[in-house]
Amino acid sequence: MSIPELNKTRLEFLTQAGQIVLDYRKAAFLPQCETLLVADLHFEKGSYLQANGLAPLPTYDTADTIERLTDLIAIYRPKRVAALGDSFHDTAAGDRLSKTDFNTINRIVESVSDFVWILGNHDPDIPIGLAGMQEDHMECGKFLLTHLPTNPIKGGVNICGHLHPKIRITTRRRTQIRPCFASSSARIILPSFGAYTGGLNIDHSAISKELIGERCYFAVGRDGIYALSG
Amino acid sequence: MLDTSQTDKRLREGVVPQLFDNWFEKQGWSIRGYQREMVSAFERGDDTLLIAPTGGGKTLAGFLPSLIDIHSGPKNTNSALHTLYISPLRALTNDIERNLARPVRDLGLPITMGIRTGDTKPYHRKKQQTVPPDILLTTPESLMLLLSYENAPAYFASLKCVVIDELHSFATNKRGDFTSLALARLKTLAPDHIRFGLSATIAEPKKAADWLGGTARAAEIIEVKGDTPPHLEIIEPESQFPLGGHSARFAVKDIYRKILTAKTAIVFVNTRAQAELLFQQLWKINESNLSIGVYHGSLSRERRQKTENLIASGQMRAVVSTSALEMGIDWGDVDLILQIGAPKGVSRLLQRIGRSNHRMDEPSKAILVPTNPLEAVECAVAIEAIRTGHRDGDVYRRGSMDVVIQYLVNRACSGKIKKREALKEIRSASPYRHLGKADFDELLAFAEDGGYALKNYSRFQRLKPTSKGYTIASNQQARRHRMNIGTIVEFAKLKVRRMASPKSKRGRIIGEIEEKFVINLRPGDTFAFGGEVLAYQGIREMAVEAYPAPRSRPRIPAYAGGMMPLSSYLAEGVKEVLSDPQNWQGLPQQVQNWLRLQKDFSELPDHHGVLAEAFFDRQDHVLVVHTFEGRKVNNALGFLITKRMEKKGLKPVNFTITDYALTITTLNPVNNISDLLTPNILDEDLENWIVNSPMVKRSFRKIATIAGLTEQRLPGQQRTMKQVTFSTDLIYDVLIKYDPDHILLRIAREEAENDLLDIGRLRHWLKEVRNQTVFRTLPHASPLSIPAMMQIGREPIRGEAEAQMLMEASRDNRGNAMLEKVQDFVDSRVK
Repeated sequence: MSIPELNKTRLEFLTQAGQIVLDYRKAAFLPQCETLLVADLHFEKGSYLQANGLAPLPTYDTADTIERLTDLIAIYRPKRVAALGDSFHDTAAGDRLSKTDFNTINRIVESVSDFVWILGNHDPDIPIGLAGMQEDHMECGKFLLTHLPTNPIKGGVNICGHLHPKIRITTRRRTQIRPCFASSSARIILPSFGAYTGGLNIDHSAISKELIGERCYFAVGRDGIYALSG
Repeated sequence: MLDTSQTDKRLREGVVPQLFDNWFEKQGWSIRGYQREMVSAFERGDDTLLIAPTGGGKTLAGFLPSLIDIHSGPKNTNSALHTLYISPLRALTNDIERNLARPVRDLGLPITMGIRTGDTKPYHRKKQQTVPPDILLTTPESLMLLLSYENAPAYFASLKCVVIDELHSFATNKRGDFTSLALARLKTLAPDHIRFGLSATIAEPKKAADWLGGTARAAEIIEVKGDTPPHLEIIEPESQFPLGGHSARFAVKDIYRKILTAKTAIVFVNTRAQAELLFQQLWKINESNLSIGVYHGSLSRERRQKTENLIASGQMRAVVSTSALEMGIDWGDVDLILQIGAPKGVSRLLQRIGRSNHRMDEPSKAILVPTNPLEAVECAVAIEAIRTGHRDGDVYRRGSMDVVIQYLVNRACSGKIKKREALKEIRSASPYRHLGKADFDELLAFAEDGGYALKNYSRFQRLKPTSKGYTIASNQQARRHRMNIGTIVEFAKLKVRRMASPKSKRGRIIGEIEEKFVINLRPGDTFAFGGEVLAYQGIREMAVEAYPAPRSRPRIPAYAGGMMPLSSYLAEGVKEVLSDPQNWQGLPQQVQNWLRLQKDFSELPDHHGVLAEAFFDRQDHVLVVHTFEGRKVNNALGFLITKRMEKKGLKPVNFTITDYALTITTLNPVNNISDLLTPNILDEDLENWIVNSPMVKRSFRKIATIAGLTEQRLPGQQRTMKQVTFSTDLIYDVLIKYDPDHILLRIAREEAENDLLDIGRLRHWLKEVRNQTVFRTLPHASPLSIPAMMQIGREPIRGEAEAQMLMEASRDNRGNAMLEKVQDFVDSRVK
């Protein structure tokens, strides 16, 4: 038995599918298969909004997302990295990706043994020329890694993205809204990782209908991760 | 007797045709001296600021020269714009049209008038575009929109006169900056036109005249004295003043009785939510079934106009209103003003009082209804200030740079702009006379493509450089800009559609409500809107659908805004009254008792020193510093003390400010303030502490909107949940990291330093009160601390306390149940 440690940068515990580490930097790590998980990178969302919203938005979001991912890889030194879908904001994202960012992404991909792009609704394809495998889903023991919530085999756990969960924590003094991991016994929904990604409240039916039974949320703070019951 | 004084030179009276004199006579009036002087100023071509008390025929004075000029001029064969009237309020344009229509009709003048505001219907807009009226009545925003059209140079070329009404109300804010740029543009398009400014009595006419005249030459001043002083009193309520907060519930019966004594009363409140609430409360006790209405800017045009007409025709006994009714409008029959809550400034109070009894030689009558004892003191100080003729001094500051960006895009929409000409034009507006070339270049670069240090995606453009200057890059860009013109940044709003019943298929739009408020509503929740209680049904087609609910206690829409800063004169006056029991005589008995209680329980704030009180309230340690130095000093002090507290491990949670006090909540107790209230807190590195504060992020949101980085509403785009939550905070964080010197960040920092904080005055004050600090630890909040503690709008501190609170939430999420659940959750996996 392991007890979740509170107010730490990481939270390690055992699910019915095995050990998992949740990191306050909005990523998860599966020790058994040495896999680092991030979801919803939404590369080039800034340039997309710039082009479609006609607004002079700064487009440093891709660079920022890359930088934070690079840091995580340096910390966990995983064998494999899986990006759980919506890694690119739209199908034309590759055309807008700068040469520098393009090369940096390839360097990251090549820095690990396996880099898996799980395809999402925003990115049915990965920009041509980028390295890494493309998969619809992936398995790691009894963990099922997908973009959209998908039911795992009995006794397994689905880890997915897509929903960008956020939690509202109201203490008597103040309300804080934080990205979070949203989980029930057979599912863990990752917070979105991209710099320009907003969130959806965990009370929204799109999220709550995917969580069956007892829920647990892991709020991401500025310097730690905090467990909260449903 | 009215007397006119001239500050600059002897002004002559102009020639008024007999026809006009006759008309005045028929009304039982005579043309006043200063009205003739305005005619003369027009003949000479002098820009002129007319300062006159309400009810003196000020508006007519502004228009008289134009009426005469059009009357005596050659027959106008081609319709061309002669006079442009700019008003800060839409309601005012309707009112002016009503009032001008009469002389125009009676005299048979060949004059056409038109109104152009956000309320103008597309059909009329189109007509005005092709056939301009002689006199166009508009708002700054609509004027800027007209200036963005390609035909603007031709449309405004014939302009002879611009009349800016209620100039004092917006010359000193961003909306004034915006207007000054529009005026500068008009000067380029029609160099020979004359500017007339109309203003209520102000402290520093010279500064207003500088603003009006522009950089080249200050305007002349005509100042009319001779107000009849108003009758003012503070209500003596039957029940006790609440100790804090801003609710008028305790005095509803008293207010109602006063309404009964008047022909028509306007009840002024400070926020829209207060208006709805008080309106509800009045109707609950409306035994005589008086016609009582409600009026504020969120109501639909139809609702507002209906209420305006009812008041104008004397069919309404009382209307509860926000500042939306406080200017200009001539309501002949209003004979009583009730001011609910603190007046916040002498000039504002006078403006509101001026709504009653619109004849210059009879006194206006007003009753002040403070909602807590401290406000009662403030009311007493304001009454004394009015009696002695004091006026608030407005601060004419440098023009905001975000407004320049919007202006440049606006210019480019109407035609090519050359850099040098644009800079010259901008500098001719007095708020921008010091705008530097380097700043201008950065602003233009932002307008063009964002002006970012790193450009990895170069296809984006708002402005396109050509050999003959910059032009707007596309029609889409022009459309986007036009939909976002203005400097009043509000929270996103949704329309409210009133359905007859939950089963109705159709309804009608009755106004707008803040999206932020709606997000917290569940179907069936009730809220007050447009004077009735509605039950929320859902959102459909971008409108909130709601149906009338049985009268229950509603949730009140939480409108932002209405947080008006107190003039520093009043703050100082309040301190003076409080510090010495000798000065309490004019105060209601209840308030005197309250002050005695303060004296016995803690201390009275000393006139020269500072009183700080610490106590435990519910679960928090609270420190209240009674500075009486105004919001900017209190804000600056709040940032500095919390920074020091964070360092000392006191774990500050948040702070709130009022004009009088700074209130800080901490997780650990404050036992000693000698190293908190000391000049050396100024050595703290504030840069980072402020840059990451929600306060600066809030101003960034507004700047981003004005500069066109984000928009109030995306044209033709329905926003999804995810886009709603994609906030400017994310942009801010990324910019700080990758482009820390970006122009928008600089504007946000400078605005925080100049408009939100006053470090200079704080430094001075800290030195002054050193060694004169009285620190009291108390068993609970003192009478004086309660109003400060009940202030809304907390400034959260990003520090250790935040983590501790999350940890506490995590550990004892509703009484420890939480940790067990986490434990269960974990255990269930282990089995």
